[in-house]
Amino acid sequence: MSAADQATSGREPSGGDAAAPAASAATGSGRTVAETLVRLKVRLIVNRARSSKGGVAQVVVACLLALVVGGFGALLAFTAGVVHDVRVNRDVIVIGATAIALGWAVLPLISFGSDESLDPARLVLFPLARGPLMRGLLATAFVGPAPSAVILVVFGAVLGYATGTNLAVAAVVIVAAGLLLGLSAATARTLTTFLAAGLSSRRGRDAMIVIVSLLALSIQVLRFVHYSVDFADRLVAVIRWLPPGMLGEAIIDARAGELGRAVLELVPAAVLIPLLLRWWAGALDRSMTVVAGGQSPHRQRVARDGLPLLFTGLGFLDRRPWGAVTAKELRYVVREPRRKVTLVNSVLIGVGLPVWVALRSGGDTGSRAVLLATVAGYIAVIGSSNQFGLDGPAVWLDMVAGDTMRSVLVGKNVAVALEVLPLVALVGLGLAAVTGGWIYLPAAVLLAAAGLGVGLATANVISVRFPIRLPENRSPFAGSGGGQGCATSAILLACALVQNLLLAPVGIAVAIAMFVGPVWLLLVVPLAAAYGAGMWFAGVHIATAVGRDRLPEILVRVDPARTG
Amino acid sequence: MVDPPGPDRAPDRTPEWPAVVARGLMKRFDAKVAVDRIDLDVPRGCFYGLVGPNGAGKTTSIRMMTALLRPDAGQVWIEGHDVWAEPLVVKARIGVLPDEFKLFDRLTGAELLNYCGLLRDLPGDLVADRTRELLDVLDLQGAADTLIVDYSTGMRKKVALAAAILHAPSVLFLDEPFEAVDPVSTRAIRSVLERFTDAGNTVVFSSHVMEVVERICDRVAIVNHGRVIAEGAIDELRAGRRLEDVFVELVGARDAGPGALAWLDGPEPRAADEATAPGPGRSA
Repeated sequence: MSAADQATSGREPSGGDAAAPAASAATGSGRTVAETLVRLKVRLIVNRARSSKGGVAQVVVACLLALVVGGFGALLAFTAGVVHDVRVNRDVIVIGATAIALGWAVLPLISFGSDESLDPARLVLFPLARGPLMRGLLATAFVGPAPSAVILVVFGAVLGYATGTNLAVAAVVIVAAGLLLGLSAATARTLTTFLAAGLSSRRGRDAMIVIVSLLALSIQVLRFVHYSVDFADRLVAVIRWLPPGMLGEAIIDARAGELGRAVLELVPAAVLIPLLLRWWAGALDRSMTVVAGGQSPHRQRVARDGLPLLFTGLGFLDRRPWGAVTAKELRYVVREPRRKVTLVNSVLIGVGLPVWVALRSGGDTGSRAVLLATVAGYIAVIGSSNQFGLDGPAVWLDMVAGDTMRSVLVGKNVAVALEVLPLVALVGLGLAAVTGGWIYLPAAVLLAAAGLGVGLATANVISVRFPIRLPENRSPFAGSGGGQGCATSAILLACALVQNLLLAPVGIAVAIAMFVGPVWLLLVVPLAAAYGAGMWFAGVHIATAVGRDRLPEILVRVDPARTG
Repeated sequence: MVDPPGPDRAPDRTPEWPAVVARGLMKRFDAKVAVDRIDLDVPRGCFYGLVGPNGAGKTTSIRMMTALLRPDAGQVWIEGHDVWAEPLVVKARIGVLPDEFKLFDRLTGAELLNYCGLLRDLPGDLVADRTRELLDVLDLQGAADTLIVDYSTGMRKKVALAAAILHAPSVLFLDEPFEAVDPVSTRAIRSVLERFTDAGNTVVFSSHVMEVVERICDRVAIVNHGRVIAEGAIDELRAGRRLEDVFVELVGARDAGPGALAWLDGPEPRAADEATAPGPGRSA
C-alpha cells in the first residue's frame, strides 16, 4: 500500500479547504476510506441479494460455489505442494499462479456494471484524495465470493509448499503468495480503470461483450487440447518467464535450496506492482475527469428515395408484417452484441464440430461426413425457447400494432432460417468438396430445415407459454437464460427435451437409412422435410392461438424492471 | 349529450360515444392497490390530462386502457369498442406512448417507424411517406440514420410519438410525454399534438408538469392513491387559481416546518456536521 502513497505523493487535492471535508467525511465516523468502501461493497452484495426474487438464493449459491471451488482448489494446491515430485510441484504452482493473475484481471471486466464499487466514476462527486481512494478500491478487490475463493486457494498453496521446509523457504512462499495477490488485484484494477471510459459508453460495452464472449468461447478450445504432463511442462517452460509464473518458480527454487535465485525471481512482481499502481493513478485521474462519448457514427445506407429504411439491403424480403419482423431481426443480429455472440457461437460450433468429427474419424465417415453439416441447424434451435426475452419490454411495440403474434413468430423463425441454412449449405459444400459426397448435400440442407422446423415449432409454443426474462446490461454471459434461476433452467431443459424427442424419429430414420443403404435417404429425407414443415405450421398455429390471449402476461414476464 | 354506460350495462355502439370510457377499473400488485375502481369519460376531440403524484396510478391506468396490462376488474371502451373483447378494432384506433418505454433501440429512427407501419400492414409507400414527414416535423431528419440506442431522451420521446401516430389513430395515450424533455422538443411534441386534436382526435396524457397541463388541456382528472379525486373542465377545476395550487390542495402537501434543515443556514457545531456529512458509505 505504500506504493499507492508514493504514486500519489504531492498530488493530493489542492487547497486545504477542499481536502478537509474529505478527511472529515472519511474519519468523521472514525473510519478510513478503505473501511467505508469495504462496507459499501458488502452492502452492495447484500442489497443485490435483497433486490430481486431469488436474489438471496443467487448470492448464497455464489458463496457456496466459492467455498466449494476455493476449498477444492486449496486442497489441490496443498496436495501439489506436499507430494515429492518436483515436476508436479512446479507445474501446479507456475500454471496456478498464472491462472490466478490472468483470471483476476479478466473477471472484473466481465462483472463491470454489476459491481458498482469497481467504477471510480461513481465516486467522482466525493471529495476523496487519490491515495485513500486507491487504497480503498484495492481493499474492496479482496471482498466478495470470488476473491475469497482465490485467497483460499493461495492459502492452501502456502500451507502445502511451506510444509516441511525451513524458515527462509517459508518466508519466500509467503512473500510470493502476497505478491501474487497484490499483483493480481493491481493488474485487475489498472486494466478496469484504463477501460472504464470505453466500458462506460454504449459502443465500448458492445465491443467488450463480443470480445469477452469470444474469449470465453476460445476457452472451449482447451477441450480439444490433448492434456498430458508433457503438455504442462511445455506450457510451464513458457509462462515461467511471466511475473506471476516467476513467483511460482521462486517457490520451487527456494525449496531446491537456491534462495538467491528465488529472491531474484520475486523482483519482477515486486517492481511491477508499484508501476501498475502508478499507471492506475494516472488512469484514475483521467477516468474521473473525462466523459466518454457514445454516439454511433453516421451510417451511409440510403434507400433510393433518400431515406434509409428497414428493407435497405434486404430487398428479397416480403413487404408484409412478417417480412418487417425478419428485417428487424436480421438487423439485430449484426447490431445487438448478445445476438452477435449467439451467431458467432453457431458459426464456430456449426463449422468446428463437423470438421473436428471428420478429422477425428480419420476419414472413416467418408462422403457421409457431409450430413454433419446439419449440426449448425441443431445447435441453433436446441434450447432456443426464448423468442421474446431478447426483445424485452420493447415487445409492447409489437403488441399495440394489432394481431401481430403470427407475423412476429413467423418473422423471427424466417430470420433464424436465413442465418442458419446458408451456414449449413456452406459447411456442407466444404465437406462435400473434401470428401466428394456431393449427393449428400441436398439431404443435409433438407434435414437441417426439418430440424429447424421441429425445433422452432417447440420454441414458439414454449416462448408464448413460458416467456423468459433476460436481465438488461448484464454480463455477456447472460445468454438465452443464464443466471435466471431454477425455473428458467427447467424451462430451457424441458424445451431441449421436447425438441430432442420430436427430432428423435428423424434421427433414427436417417440412421437406419444410412445403415441399410444410403439410397433409402431418398425416401427418408423428403419425409423428414415434410414432417418438419408440418410440425412448424402446427407450432406456429398453436403458439399464435395461445399467445394472442396472453400478450399482457408476456409483456410482464419479459420486462426486467418488473418482478411479476 | 352522450349517455355513457353504467357499470352493469353493455355499451351502445354509436358514433356519439365518448373517446374513452372506463368503468370500475382496478389493479392490485400484491398487497398494494395501484388503481382503485377508476371511472373516466373522455369526450372526443378533447385534450385530456391525467395528473397526480408519483405512484398515484396514472401509468397503471393508461396501461390498462391500452391493453398493455390486464385489469383485475372493470372495463374500458375506446369509441364504443371494448378493449379486451375487441382488441384488434381498438388497437387500430389508438396510439400509445408508455412511460419508461423501451423501443427496438438497435434500429435507426427511420427503420423503427418503417417497422411499426409495416407491422400494421400499411402499404410500403404510405409508410415511407409518413416516416419522412414525421421525422421532418419532429426535427429528427438529421438523426434518422442514427441508432435509437444513441438518442437522447427527447429524441426517443419524439420518435416514439411518431411511431404512435404513424397509423393515424383517433385516440392517443401518452404517459409522461414531456418528462425529461428539453423545451425545443417539448414545443415540437406540443405542436404535433395540437395538430392532432385540431383534426377532431383525442389525446389522453399524464404529466407532472402543471404549466403544460394548464396550457393545453381541455379537461383534467386528478388521481391520487388510485382514485379520481377531481375531474372536470380545466377552467371549472381551477376556479381562477393556478392548477398547481388546486392540485397541491387536493392531493395534500406535507410541510416540513421552519425548523427542518436548519443546518443549511450556516456552520454549526461538529456534531451536526458528522450527522449529515456526505460520505461514500451513505451513498449506498
